[in-house]
Amino acid sequence: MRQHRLVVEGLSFYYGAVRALYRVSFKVGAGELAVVMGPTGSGKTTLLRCVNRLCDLHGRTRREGRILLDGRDIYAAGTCPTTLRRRVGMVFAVPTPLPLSVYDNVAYGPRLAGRGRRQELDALVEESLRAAALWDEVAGRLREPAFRLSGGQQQRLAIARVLAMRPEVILLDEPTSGLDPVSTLRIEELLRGLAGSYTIVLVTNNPRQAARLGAKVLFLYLGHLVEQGPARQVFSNPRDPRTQDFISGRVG
Amino acid sequence: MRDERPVEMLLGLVALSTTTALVLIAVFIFIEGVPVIARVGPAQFLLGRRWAPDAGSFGIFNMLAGTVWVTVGALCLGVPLGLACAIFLSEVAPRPLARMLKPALELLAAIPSVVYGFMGVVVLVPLVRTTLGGPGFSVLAASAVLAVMILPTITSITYDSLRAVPDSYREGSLALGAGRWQTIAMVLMPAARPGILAGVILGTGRALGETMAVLMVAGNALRAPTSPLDPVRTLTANIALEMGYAQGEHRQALLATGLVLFVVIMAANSVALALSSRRAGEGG
Repeated sequence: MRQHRLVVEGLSFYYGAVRALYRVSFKVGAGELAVVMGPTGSGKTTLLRCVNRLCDLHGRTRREGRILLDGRDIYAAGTCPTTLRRRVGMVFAVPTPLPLSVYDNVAYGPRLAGRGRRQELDALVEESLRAAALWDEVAGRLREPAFRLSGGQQQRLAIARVLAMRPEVILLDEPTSGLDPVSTLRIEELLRGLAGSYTIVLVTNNPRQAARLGAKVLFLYLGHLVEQGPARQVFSNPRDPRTQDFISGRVG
Repeated sequence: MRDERPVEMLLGLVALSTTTALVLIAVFIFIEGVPVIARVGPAQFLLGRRWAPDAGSFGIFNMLAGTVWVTVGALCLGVPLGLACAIFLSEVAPRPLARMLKPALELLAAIPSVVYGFMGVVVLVPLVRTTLGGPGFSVLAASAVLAVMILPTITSITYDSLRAVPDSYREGSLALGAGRWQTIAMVLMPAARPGILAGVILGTGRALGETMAVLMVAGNALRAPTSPLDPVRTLTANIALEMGYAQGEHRQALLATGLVLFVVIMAANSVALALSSRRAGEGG
């Protein structure tokens, strides 16, 4: 049996009195590319933020259920969220370059993790930028502030930044929502290339993107995981009418 | 439709009158101050060590040194404290606590400076005298009082510029495995740097210009200090002490002293204004 890298078991999440997730359970295998699709407000972002514990940052929230990474509960006492976030990288919907140079953005994570030696860092930055298909465009601009890059470049920079951490899991929260079709295609190509080496969970509100990318597709609707399965099955023969409505464009 | 022009004109007039006041003060102080500086010679006026109005000697160096000592001292004490307060309020304290503490801190600015001076005389001066020696009336006492007085300025401007740093920077940094302190030191402070500098410079302006509290605790000796425990007289204190009885050239020399302060503080405020108009986050 294939080893499951990420296991979510009965996850519920509340913001104060508002419930965002209802007992969501799914498994993602090592090297698998899973796409969580659903309309805006269905809890997709909350789900991702639970997996790298960014949701800890909000006050007045409550969580039930477990999330296992390589069989270990990430919310177990004694688990350090900082260490966890080094293993579970996150790419946000809006490109978020830190107010640093291109180079320093990529080197930020490794430096924090203690890999500060110049040569090693140079090599790692180049390797990560190449893997994110950005190296050729920024090789001569490594010292420029990262916010001068275009939107698509900034998003690939965000991916390079995550790759430089050598994470086990990469989470992407609607990474192409602000990008033009060409940039979107480049990022999708990039992600297909990365699947296999990394376990990837991508969130999108666009069913066509889910169809283009997903090996495994999950449909989240108003906090409920309505359907999950191989992309072909979910798209050609959805079991739930709500899935049918979403993929045919009647909802969301 | 009602005609709004009268209201607009009235408001415009009010706005104009305040800037007119600024211009008039500037013109007055220049007209009164410049001749004496020209007569004594700018270098002799600024660097002369003898201030003897009766003998016609007008060198403000000792008081200039006093002002510099006291101001630098106030910054050394006040800036770290102010930054620490701002970081605590913005990044560490739970929101409700920050919402209570920040207005309280800003109320420090509402205490009249004479009350600060009074507290300095009653508490700080004896404390310095008994624990560190010297007369107690000293650079140190003045700097400590000023540090508290500039705290609200530095803290609230630093706080505002930290709050203005987008949360995406915080989350981006944390998501890359940074701790809270690493995020503050490596991302938030650099992003907020223009605002922080503006706050420090405004605080400096306030420290340079403060008169009453400093006058009460600094000791007012007409010597350039060589130690933080020495008593000093600042430029502002000198004007306040002597203006009451000064005549003729003496009076003009005091106005010229005011001119020096005016120019320095205006310059500081202009720099602060220029810095704070730069958007946070584009400093890197």
